[in-house]
Amino acid sequence: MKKRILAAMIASALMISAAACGNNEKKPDATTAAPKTSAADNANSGSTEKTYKPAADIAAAVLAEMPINSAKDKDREKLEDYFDGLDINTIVDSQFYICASGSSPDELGIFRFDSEASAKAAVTSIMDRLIERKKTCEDYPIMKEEMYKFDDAAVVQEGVWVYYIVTSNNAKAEEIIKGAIG
Amino acid sequence: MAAKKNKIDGISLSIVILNILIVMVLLTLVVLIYLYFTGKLEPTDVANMDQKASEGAAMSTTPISTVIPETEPDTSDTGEADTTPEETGEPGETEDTTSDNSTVPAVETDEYDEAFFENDLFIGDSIYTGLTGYEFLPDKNVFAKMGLTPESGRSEENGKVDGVTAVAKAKKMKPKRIFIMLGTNGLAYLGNTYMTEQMKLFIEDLKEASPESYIYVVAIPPVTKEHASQGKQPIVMVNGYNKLLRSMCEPIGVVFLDLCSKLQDSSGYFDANYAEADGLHFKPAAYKRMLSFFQKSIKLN
Repeated sequence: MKKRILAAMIASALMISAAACGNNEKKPDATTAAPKTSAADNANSGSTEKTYKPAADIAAAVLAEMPINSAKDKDREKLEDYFDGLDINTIVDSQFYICASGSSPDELGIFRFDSEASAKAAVTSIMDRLIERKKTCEDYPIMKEEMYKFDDAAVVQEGVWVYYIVTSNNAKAEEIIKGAIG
Repeated sequence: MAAKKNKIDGISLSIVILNILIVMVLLTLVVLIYLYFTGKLEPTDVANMDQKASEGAAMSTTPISTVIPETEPDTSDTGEADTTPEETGEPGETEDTTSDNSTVPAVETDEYDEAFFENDLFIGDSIYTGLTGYEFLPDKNVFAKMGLTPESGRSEENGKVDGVTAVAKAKKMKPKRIFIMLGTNGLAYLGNTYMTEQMKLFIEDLKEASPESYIYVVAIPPVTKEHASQGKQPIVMVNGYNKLLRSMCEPIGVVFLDLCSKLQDSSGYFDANYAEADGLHFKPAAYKRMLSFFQKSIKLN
């Protein structure tokens, strides 16, 4: 009798364990790299084309070296507030950081578009922002010591990528980004 | 009389029940462990749920009068009540801008209702860009430009954001309230008296553009001791300018909000809990403090 009871308990435990672990399917985790935009998932899943490093990861690598004070990332939906004329519907993946407190001019934008043509079309609006930011900061006496960040600030288009950098070391930032998207 | 034992296939009922309970406990444990290791159950979720529940309860239906401020309004500092607005016709609304110079607690949670400011316009300089930068308020409620002063705020050439001036935005929006915080940038080169005069003219422009709006002049914030030592915004000039602003408000029928005292530490400088590294701009906590202070200062009967 005792053997029966013991056998029943063991069998139950084995059955339960099998059932619980049975749903642990291994799926390709499209969100491991946590792209900020869902469009990135759509673009990557099921695609036989080249896989791209998520913009969030690239931005994180840059910020690890050149942190932005009071950095705040902006969702794709808010990009139109910062870049006049930018067609956000052509953006597949993006990461855009500003200095939210207004205390420094630092900004970092990494955008992947659905095509090279879209990337090229976006350069103008992103460059306009850079020009406007520089002019605004030039007129702002408190920013005088920060103006060096505009010396080699850049908006660069490479293939489907456009990146926009105003950081404390733009050369280093560009090196990191090029290494990631190359 | 012998007790009759209930048995199922030779196993007593109590044993069966015990087995079932053990199985249920094992099952629960296995499921919880599985969920935890697959990241679907985080310990912090429970903590956050409790926190969010309490925050939601505190903000949703609590009338302002029962939201306990860290310090209670103090009428003793100003010497006189800050001016009441020209129009008090808004039903049940009175403005109380009595300031409070008691020490700002080092850390506090300031609650405010974003919906309270839904129809308001905030006009300011780079400090106010943080209202949208940190997404405390949407773009439609903020007119902020780096370097803006009371003088340039009136300028068609230098005072535009997205192609419009503050006055034009107010004219189009017809905000319920307008909060203006300007002057920090002009301290170094415009002079307090001139800036106050320009602020007065700016307010007149806004009144003309949006006559029904309640206008609030906000004291410029303090600076840290380190920032003051650089000479561009010495604390004595900050305080002097705020004093002039306060004096300007009553005769022209606008309300003065002494935000400066809400952000000071015990020595009168910008509290480190609110000040960015540059000693001038705001940390997120400062914005919360500000919005909470504004809301509490505008009493609803």
